[in-house]
Amino acid sequence: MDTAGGSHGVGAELVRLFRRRPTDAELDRELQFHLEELIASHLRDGVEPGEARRRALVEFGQLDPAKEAMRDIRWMEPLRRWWWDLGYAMRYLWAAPGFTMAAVLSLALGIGANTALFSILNTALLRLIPVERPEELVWFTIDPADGSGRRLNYPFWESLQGDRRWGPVFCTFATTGSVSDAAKTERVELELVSGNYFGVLGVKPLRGRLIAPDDDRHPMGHPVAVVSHAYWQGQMASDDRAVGRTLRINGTAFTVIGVTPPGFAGSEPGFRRMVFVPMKMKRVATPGWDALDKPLVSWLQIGARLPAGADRVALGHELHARYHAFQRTHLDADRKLTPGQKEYFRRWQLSLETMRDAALDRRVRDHLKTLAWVVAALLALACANLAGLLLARGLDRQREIATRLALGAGRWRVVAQLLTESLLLGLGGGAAGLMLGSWCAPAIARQFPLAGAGSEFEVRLDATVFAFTLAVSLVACLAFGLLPALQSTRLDLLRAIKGAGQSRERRRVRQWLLAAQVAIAVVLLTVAGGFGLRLQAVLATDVGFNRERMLVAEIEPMLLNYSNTERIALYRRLEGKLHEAAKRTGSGFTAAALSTVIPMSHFNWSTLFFVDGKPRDVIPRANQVGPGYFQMMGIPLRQGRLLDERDDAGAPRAAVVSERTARMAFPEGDALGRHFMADPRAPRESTFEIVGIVGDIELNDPRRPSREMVYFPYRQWPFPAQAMAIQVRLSAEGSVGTALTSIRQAVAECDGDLPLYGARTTEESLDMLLAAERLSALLGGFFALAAALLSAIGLYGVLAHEVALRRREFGVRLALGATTRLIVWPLMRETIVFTLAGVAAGLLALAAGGLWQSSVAPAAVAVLLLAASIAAWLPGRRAARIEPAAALRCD
Amino acid sequence: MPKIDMPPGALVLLILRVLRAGPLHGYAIAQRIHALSAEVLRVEEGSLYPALQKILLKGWVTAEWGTSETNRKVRFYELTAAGRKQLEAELDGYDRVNEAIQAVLRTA
Repeated sequence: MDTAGGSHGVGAELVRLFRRRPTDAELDRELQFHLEELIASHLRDGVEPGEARRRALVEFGQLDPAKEAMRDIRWMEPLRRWWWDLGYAMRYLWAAPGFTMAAVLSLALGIGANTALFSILNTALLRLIPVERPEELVWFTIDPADGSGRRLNYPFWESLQGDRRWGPVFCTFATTGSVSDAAKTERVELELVSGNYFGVLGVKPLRGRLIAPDDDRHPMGHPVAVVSHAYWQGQMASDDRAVGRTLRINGTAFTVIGVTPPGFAGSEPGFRRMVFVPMKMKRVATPGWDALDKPLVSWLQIGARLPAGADRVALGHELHARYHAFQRTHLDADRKLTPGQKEYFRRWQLSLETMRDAALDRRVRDHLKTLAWVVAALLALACANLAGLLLARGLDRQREIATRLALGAGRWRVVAQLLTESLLLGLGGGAAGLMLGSWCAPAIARQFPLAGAGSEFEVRLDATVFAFTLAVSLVACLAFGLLPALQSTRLDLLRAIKGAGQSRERRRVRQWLLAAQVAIAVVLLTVAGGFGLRLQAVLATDVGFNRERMLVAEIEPMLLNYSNTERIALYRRLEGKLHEAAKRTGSGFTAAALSTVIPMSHFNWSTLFFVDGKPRDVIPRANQVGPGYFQMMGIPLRQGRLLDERDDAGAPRAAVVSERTARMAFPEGDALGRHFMADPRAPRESTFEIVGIVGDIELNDPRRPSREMVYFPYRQWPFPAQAMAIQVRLSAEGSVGTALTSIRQAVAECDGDLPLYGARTTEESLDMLLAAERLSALLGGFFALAAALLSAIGLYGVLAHEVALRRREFGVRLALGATTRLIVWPLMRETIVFTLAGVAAGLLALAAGGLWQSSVAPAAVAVLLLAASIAAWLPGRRAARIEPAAALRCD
Repeated sequence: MPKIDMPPGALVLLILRVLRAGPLHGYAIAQRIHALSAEVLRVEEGSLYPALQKILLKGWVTAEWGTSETNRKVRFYELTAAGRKQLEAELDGYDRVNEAIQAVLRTA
């Protein structure tokens, strides 16, 4: 039997939700029948028809309440009510545009900041590499990370082929090479890839075809190359006949077989690989070393696409066991490695790291984490503002709410109504926040240090971002709408209807909210100020050399197959031309020098330090320099002499050390004139006399304390360094452009084919290096100001509202002779108390969270107190200016 | 006409009890309760129909459109097995509470 005549099916209920008639008709029919039976029974008792009807109606009571009561029992009823509430809420919010705007804007700011950061993370972590299902991809990673990171060897990769435990395993290696395309020679980011690389990643060609397993079979047998979409668009001018063209890579001809799809630039996010060649062509890509057959040379990145549902950790353990089993035989057989070095290999811990986790380095991740806290705090602040506004609004509506409660509306009914309003506000704020966030995110992302120079970082809004924003908005508005809703419905009906209600408790809540806002703002301002100070401190760090007006550019003659002797000859020739140019006015620079380490970059070399055959407890950074280096850099001489033209090949080997090196290696202070050996495998070639001691510097990173340094003449100790940095000091009137032209000319005079690349000023290098700090300082500062503004607005709102509510009271008191001081002071006093309470709580939170910064906190407090005073002063002034007569007339 | 307010919860019990005899429509249920209580208990229509809806949703009765004695279309309510069980349980509980109350009233 169909219960209740088919009226209780879910579908029927849904239909009825918006269409009341059919059910009501059923109800009417049943009740009507009942009524008529009552009338009939009275008629049967002999009552007059009119009287019978009257009596029946009296007995029956009102028809409508019965119907309402029946409706209440249906399960869809709450939804229908909510639909009515929604309409009511819309009309209500529409009628109070000031309140609505303030609430929506507060939320938009908070939600926008969160959306912006989240969409960046979303892109950075999930979609940076445009490949199929990036979440399945892993790198074979070595811990500790201070070892070789992800560097493994090619024979191991080969041994894994055919083993499907880790899914398909590919390998890749990034390097740079000189690429000539008919007209010009350029230094280009190359990626050597295994034949299955594109297949495993799931990349489809835009043009032609991509490298396939058959393109990677025989050593030096496959001169084919795939170019990236960016390279095809830029260097090849989107040539329709790009496929089939010839590129000369490090002098060898390669045929272009295909173009990657837009956005694909290798498997390492943040780098822009331009040209892909088969791994078996490695000897061409990295002239001077091959290592494809060396099981103990670590250089290769190995990755895999794990099978669906695989246990990453367990597979990592299997990999670890497999690697060490592979390595043991080779380590045992090896005779060149020292026992310490073998021990180092044996300590390696292998695991599988998702590519997603590997996308961001730890430092950037830490900054993002801090920023995530900052935006969360900002959202909390916006929500506190919302709660304050809703509470104030609740006061205004006391009479309305009281009337509804008095007329019999259930409390939860009114609470639901108020929550519906916050929900609407939340959705409005969420939409505005989404717009704000999506507008900000790309601007923020452009500042982001994720990307190497020139790489694209596109922030996309997708379903995940939408879902995130929606969830944040809903949670924010419901959580912070509930308290005011509960507050507003718990009231003394009589007092409220009479218009006298201003419950103390409610004021307390608002004041505590205010204190909480102030506390959050203090924390944010201090943290942001800390970012700013840290950045400033780093920028002001004395690195020991003059980094003003310095221009660097690089050359890499190894790419043109220079031998060691040819290289040194080229450098010497170039040095001569540069020194000449430095003396010439109009060249744009006043001093020039060569060295292998670029200031403010990640590149550096280290050397061992043996004295009398025994290692000293110091591993200094090594730099190979040419004559004039110290003068150009502004590194002061402390003892002995600097390196110059006399320290040439064939001359007695001479080196200069920094003060720290001298102190640590020779604690007795007799460093000058002593000899040390840098490489026990080549004792004769690597023994140098210390001819000078210079000041300490930190060449690579101003955030670190200065390191021990050793300077070798490059002419006496040719490191395997491929690149040589040309460094010049710009003259007072010289521009970067002029200087670069002069350098280019000097290089061209030595070798017309030699590309000059990586030209940048030291300031630019520093900017790149400190990008994370800069971003934190910038965003942190912006968010903190927004926080201060939000709390000032909140305070102003609370006070202005209070003054407006108590206008009558103030008017009466003024009329009775109260002074302005008596009116305004109690108002101010409360504000001051709660602001100070907030400041104290904020400072405590800073101390508890280990974020205390004595140099910033007082300033943050001062800024907030100033903002609070202004926010409090405006309503206070209005209270003082109330005209008693006008105030009393208004009600 | 004497009129006594229904004790809370009793209405459901009474409805279930009068339905034990067979399907009835709403008006008949009200009449039956009124008559069986020697015209002491009067069922307010405003509470009868909501109570019927509640019982319907609990599954203690089913409802079906039928024709009344006066040839009108009307809903008949019929006790289900669950309703019968519920009635037994409530009767049992009611008896015990009633005895307890009576005992107190007699001796106190």
